[in-house]
Amino acid sequence: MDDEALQELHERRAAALRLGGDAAVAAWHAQGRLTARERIDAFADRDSFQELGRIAGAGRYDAQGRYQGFTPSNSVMGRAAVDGRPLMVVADDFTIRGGSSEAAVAEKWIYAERMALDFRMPLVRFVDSAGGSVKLLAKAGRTKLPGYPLWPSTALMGAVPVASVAFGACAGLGAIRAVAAHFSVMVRDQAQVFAAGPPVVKQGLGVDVDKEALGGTELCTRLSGAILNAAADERDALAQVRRFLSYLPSHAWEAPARASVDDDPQRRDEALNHAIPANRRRIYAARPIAVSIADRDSLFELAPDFGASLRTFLARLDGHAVGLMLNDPAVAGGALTRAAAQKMERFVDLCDSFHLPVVHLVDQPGVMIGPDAERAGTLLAAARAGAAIEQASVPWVSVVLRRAYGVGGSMLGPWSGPTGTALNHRFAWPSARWGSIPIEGGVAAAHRREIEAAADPQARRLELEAYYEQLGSPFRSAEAFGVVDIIEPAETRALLCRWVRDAVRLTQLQPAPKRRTQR
Amino acid sequence: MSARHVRAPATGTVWQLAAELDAPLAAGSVVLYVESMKMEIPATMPQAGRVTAWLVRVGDAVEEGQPLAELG
Repeated sequence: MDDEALQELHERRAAALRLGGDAAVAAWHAQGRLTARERIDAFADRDSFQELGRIAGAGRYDAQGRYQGFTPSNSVMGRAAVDGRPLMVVADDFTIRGGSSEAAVAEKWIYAERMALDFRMPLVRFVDSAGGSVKLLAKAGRTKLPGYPLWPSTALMGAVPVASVAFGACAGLGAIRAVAAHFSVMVRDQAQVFAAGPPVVKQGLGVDVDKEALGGTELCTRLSGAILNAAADERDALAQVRRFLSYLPSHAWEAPARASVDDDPQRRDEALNHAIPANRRRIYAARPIAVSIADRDSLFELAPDFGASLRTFLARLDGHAVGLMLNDPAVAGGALTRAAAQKMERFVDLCDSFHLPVVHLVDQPGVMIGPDAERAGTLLAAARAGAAIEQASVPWVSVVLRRAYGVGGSMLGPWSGPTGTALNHRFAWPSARWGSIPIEGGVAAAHRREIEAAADPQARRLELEAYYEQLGSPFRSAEAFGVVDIIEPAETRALLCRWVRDAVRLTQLQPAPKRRTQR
Repeated sequence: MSARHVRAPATGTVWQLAAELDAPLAAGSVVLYVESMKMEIPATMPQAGRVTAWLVRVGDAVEEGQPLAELG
């Protein structure tokens, strides 16, 4: 080997480390942003990043074909580790052609994703890409049918955890790479995610809209749900991805590992006995109930601002990772809105795909009603969420805290499951009430004539309601074994910590990918 | 910047006014209740201040996000 070739290798490697060049990097830093390489360093375990394809890019040559210089691909990727566990990370470099996907040497970022699939390692995408660029068309002298035949985007979703961070304006393919993930987070006031940015929207629709209104954090994490979580800054986003991964196995062929735990599985919380107000029209704070039941400091909420009548947490019980769902009556009365149903479907798919036992704490008034809800497509979203529950084969337990009414209430757990043998293991607090329809309204409808005919219709209605109220006692259901047990709220944690041991015995038997991927 | 209105926390009907006009109120204190899905959902003060005018009456149908009271 001649020294010249070695020299050239080192030159090319050094050029890759310079990204878009000193001026571009300085301008980037001046915006308070980390470069692609700095993001990887801040994210991964120290010195764990082993780059692949560093010298992919565009070489420059003189007339005699001698090497003159080199512009690296704007996709930096390789193997790294987080908490000692291997994963693949692929980061867009905006300092070269705005992170454009077409300047990336597509084979390279696709290879990162294929390698994650083949080696069964989680995939983490740092997206900072303005999408395609027409200038590259001129360079290529032709167009291509859009698409990437070897990109296993959907297969990945059934095989390994996929997490994405949107760091800047992400359009087109960049937006889809951010959205099509099990966990996605965007940096507030810095990232936007949309099919196309403001100039394209202006051209196509004549609409003037700024990029924050078009695809900012408020829109994506609160209204559309396209991105799950918001981050205060870049490092917060990276910390959230690390936290997310800490609950999951490395792939769908294994169950999550148990974490060390310093919280007593038998811990009683007397406050839970008073968490539900006696007045059934009064709301209460939902989150403290989850905080009390889960291992100390173990809650990580997914999509806290979207469909928030349902709260979804990754959590731990006696050190075991679980998925925890909880209705929040302070938002839409806890109803199953279109957004809550979509959130539920995705969350159940996530838990089922990666063998996280599901704990469902239910206070469900039903599928959201009204003209807005009907127009929004709430019914179809509810049906899909119900299907996700019935297709879930992961161990499942529910505790009805208060209400379980109608179709929404029936979705407390799988009634048959994919093998037809699901127990629908279910418990209730003494504050629980359930039924096909709520008593108020239901009485008025069923006894309309009788009430109208009464000397004092109002009094008769209340009398009838009081009668049905008695019938609605959960103890009457428990007599018929309609629930496995009515429990004292304070003993909920102990019950669930005992249950999770049996649940984990099952998930560890022969974990395998589910036949469907996350939808 | 402080908010100029208390807004409806959910779509429903105004159930009960729970504050006095011009009385000093702490941030987070309940201004009125909206009935939605048979629950009383509190609408709360976004910051410390006073309610200077009601924009709705008990029984009015309200949309989520609709201004319910003016703040001074």
